[in-house]
Amino acid sequence: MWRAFARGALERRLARLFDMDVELTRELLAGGRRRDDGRLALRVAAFLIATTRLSRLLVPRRARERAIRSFVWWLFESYLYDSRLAVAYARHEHRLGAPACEGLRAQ
Amino acid sequence: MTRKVVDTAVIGSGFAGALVARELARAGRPVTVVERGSLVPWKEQLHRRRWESDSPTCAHNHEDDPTGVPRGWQYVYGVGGSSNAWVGNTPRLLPEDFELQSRHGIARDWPISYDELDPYYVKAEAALTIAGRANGIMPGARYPLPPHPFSPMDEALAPLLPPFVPMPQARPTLAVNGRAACCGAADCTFCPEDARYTVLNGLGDVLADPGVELLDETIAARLVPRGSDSRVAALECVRADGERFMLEADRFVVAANAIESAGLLLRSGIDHGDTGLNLLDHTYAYLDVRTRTPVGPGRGASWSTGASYAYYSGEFRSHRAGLLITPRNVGSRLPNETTVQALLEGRRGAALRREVVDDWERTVKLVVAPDELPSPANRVTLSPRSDRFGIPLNRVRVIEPSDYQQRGLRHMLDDLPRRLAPLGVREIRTVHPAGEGAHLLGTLRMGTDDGAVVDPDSRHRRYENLFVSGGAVFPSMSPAHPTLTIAALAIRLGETLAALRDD
Repeated sequence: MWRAFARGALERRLARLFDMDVELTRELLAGGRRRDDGRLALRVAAFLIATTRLSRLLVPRRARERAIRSFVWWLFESYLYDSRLAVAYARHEHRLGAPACEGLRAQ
Repeated sequence: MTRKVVDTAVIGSGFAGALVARELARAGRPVTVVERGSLVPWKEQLHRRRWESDSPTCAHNHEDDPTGVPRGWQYVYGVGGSSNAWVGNTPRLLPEDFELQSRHGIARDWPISYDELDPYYVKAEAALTIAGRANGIMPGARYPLPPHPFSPMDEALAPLLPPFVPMPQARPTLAVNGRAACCGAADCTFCPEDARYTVLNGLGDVLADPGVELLDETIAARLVPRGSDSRVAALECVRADGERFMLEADRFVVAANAIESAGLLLRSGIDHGDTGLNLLDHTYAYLDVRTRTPVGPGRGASWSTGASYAYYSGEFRSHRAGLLITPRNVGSRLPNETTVQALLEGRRGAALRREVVDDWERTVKLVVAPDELPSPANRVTLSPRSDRFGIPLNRVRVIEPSDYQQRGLRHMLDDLPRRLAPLGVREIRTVHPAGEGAHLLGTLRMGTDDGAVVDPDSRHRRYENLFVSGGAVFPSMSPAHPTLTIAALAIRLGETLAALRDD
């Protein structure tokens, strides 16, 4: 139960931080867990610390940058070659192409 | 071991194999297509977001040579081969690409000219229902479908990077032959409408022709030369369950990719000339050109709609690579370095997204395809290790991109800020080499010299009933995408075979 609670809290925190949909955040995290290289907890913790206000005062910039870069690329890795992520994140009013795309909607 | 006797055996069912089969079927010649992958229908590919099945025959059987540079290779074991996974760009090579040695003193000339291939290019453009607009760059090109209109990004770049033309493409502008028009989903490798041309949706009638037999989930283990003469007698095949049989044929067409085709010949002891050497591939450069002016990413009728030949052609090719530049309409990747820097500066939530998206709106994404010189250092050999069927793995060795290619890219990167100045260039971020190797070329090159593996008609120079179709026969490469040329060569070979009298 505690694990599910922590997971939910992390999803909400990341969704707020990136201003993303919680569903998408959940999917990204699930993808990350599937690729777990044994440093999952460390990576998440380092990122969460590096993005606090206090850490800007206490943690060297280089260490914060390393923690943020490592986490961002890890989190989005499953979608790095999926162009739809950029359009979705941009909340673009148009998808590429004006005509309706029934097949895409049906997915 | 059981035997099966057929007329013509085609190994591989991608464009290179399926178009040969189409020509033979049209001429009423029976043909047997051997494909190690499975038939995975489009809907299933979409659902699983995978092109290949779980059949043991679909396990990729290559490994990196430890003395080279690690590189990912993208190809598909499946009925339709890599046509299931391609994006659909179909420019022709340019006339000078066929004459690099005689014009520029580099690489090798093709033993056939652009003009000789032109009629087959026209047939390929018709077969693949290409959308495009005739232009002076690719003489003779004729497109059955009108081009996609330029995207906002193309409109911004066209006056700055001439010549700039509509990208010929197999993503249809209109519904055609039962396929929908491209809906611009920017997900071409898993086209949600099945609009992009593939073997499955474009040549399905060939595979269903009663004269065409498809043996899927069947590995071409080795060709068996006939004792004393210059003919191949049979192809030893292995089924997914391990059963082996001999396929005897009058003719064999090796039409897999340039790694797989070379591997098949090498493990058959057919290692004449440069077999396996000169592996070529597009080692792309991805550019994020950050501008002050918004450039309209995320808009456009298709994945890519324009192509710049500004750095492609000229005398400079004697000492630096030619480049083909394709703006990618979907824009730069998100998240990106801007995301990292904005987080570092303390941006969160809506402010973070605003900054990242604003930067994305002001970033031109360019995919740069550079030329490369053939080198025997880039090659396919056989590994001492074998797969589960006891077949040696293909060992692939590639070295770093050549100085010739690096000079071409450096020149462009030095020159680009001047050309794009009206957009207010802030920074150019470059990744090179980028992506995985997907344009596999050159390991069974066509020619008339001692090193050439096949002759100008794609017939093996030592075995008279052995032919090669596909990118493996390219004597040199070009900045242009190779698929249309592969299709044209396949149609040409198919017609040649169909016209042959029975031996």
